[in-house]
Amino acid sequence: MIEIKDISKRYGGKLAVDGLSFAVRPGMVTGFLGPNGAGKSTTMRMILGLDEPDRGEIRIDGHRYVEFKRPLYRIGALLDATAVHGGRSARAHLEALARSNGMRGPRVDAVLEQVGLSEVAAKRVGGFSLGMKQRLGIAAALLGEPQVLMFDEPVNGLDPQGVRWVRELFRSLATEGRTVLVSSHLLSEMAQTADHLVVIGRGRLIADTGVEEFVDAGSAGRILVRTPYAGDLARLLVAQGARVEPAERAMLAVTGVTQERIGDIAAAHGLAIHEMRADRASLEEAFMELTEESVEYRAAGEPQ
Amino acid sequence: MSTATATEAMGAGSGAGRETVTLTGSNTPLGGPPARFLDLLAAEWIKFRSVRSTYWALLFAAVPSILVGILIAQNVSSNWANLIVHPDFKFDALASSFDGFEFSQLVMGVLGVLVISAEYSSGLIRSTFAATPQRRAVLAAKTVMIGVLALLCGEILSFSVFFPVQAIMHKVGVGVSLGSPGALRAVLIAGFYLAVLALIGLAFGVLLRHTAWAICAVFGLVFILPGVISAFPAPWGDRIGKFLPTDCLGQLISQQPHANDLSRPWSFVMIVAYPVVLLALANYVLRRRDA
Repeated sequence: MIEIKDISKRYGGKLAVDGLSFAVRPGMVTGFLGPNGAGKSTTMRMILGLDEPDRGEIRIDGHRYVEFKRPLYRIGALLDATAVHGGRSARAHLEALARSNGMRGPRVDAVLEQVGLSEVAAKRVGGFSLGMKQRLGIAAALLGEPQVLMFDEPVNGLDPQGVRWVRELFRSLATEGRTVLVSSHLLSEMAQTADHLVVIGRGRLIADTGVEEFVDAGSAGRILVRTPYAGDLARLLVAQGARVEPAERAMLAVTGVTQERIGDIAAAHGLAIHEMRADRASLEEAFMELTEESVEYRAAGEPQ
Repeated sequence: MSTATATEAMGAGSGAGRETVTLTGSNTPLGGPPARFLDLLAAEWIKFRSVRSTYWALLFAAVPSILVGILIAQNVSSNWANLIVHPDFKFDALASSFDGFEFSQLVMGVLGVLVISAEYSSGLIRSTFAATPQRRAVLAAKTVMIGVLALLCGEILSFSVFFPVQAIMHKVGVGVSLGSPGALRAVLIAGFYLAVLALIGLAFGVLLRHTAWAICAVFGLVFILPGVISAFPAPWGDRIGKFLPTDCLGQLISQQPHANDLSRPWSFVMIVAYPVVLLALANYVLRRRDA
């Protein structure tokens, strides 16, 4: 359990985190979402006692971070996978960390095995791909088998198998009753991994809600339908009070009726449907809309 | 993927994931044994010995110094007959053993810098401080680790240059033995001074965080500042210069004390004071700064 109470942090003249409060609960994966520069990494550094909040306080399982004598047993974190000494082997990197917390024995080899780096354990980290470094960072977080785990953009650089593995890992950690906080700037990534979402922008809390609620609210019932009988189906649906618009790839974007209703209507009139799904693009749009005010960096010409 | 299948995938994932992950719910109580200092020391030692640059640095600290010392001794002894006819020729055979040490001093300073600056430049420092929030204990472990190592290497180096150089100087009758007055002190101090420089490097590394700037600071203090201060108008050059580590070292490794420098006990106090004061400052800064 991570409790964040009204923290603020200013760097120079810039307010990076502004009165932020939320709790990360055990037994589920909490997605920490926000555009670049929203204050996610700053918040994570403050959770780890690396940066001191100007105001507010943070508790981990009821304690302040500095109280931990052997923090690796309490909270494991991956902040920046590239923050390793390139000249050191993966095993030496982990051994030094483990030993600083009085950890000896087989844990280093166990976590190397767990993240799939056993074979390259003696190789210098400088030659690792970003994905391998992410695995090494995850191994470091798992060293002390902590109850609280935190990962900052862990999916960057992972190949599709790696992404899948990491999702399963987070799920199983949560299933074991651990507290798991995973940050990302991509809603689509979080929608597939998290149970709960904490969305921030410009250092402020925008949403603190379940993923399903967020998705429901975001997609606003927009359903995409692909059928060779687009014209016929559109007419029938409009007659039922739905709103139908053309969407990308010759699909119909339908609002105002459920998927079940659309299916029933099509079946009743013998119209084949080749594809039907909730509109994920609208979900991303909702996320964009939600965080638009708070986007920190914007290319010239991007819509305001 | 639809919202429905996303939810399914999550559910399926939690089941499948259990097979691949075997974490048990160990939960060390807060009141458990605190990280012991020896563990921190061991961790620092693992970090130090697991990068190649360590070995290169130690090699560069040793080989040139010994070679230069021997070369100078060869030169002096083979030209001895020509040199002594000059009326103002003075030669300190004891201090000359360490003529090649400037290079080792710089390398040891750099090694001290890297112990911390390599962590700042890579970002590893955050993992280190997250694993050990007691930052002063981390600095203490680094201090002991590099201090003891540099002292050992320094003494080995110092003794291994003293004997061949003095053997060469014996040929022209000016060699000193370890039993000669002041010889043991000079050899011990020359080695000790390398540990001093490593610790000054470590302190600058903490204070400046950037490898290049910290090395500049070590280099400036040890090699540039003496030249700058000696250019001051008399008597200020001597008055200030005698407090510099280089002058204090010179006083401690010479056969005859220098009249313009601090006394030998005070010179020793000064060379100890440099790392102590700088590390105290580093310690203060480390505690208050965001990592």
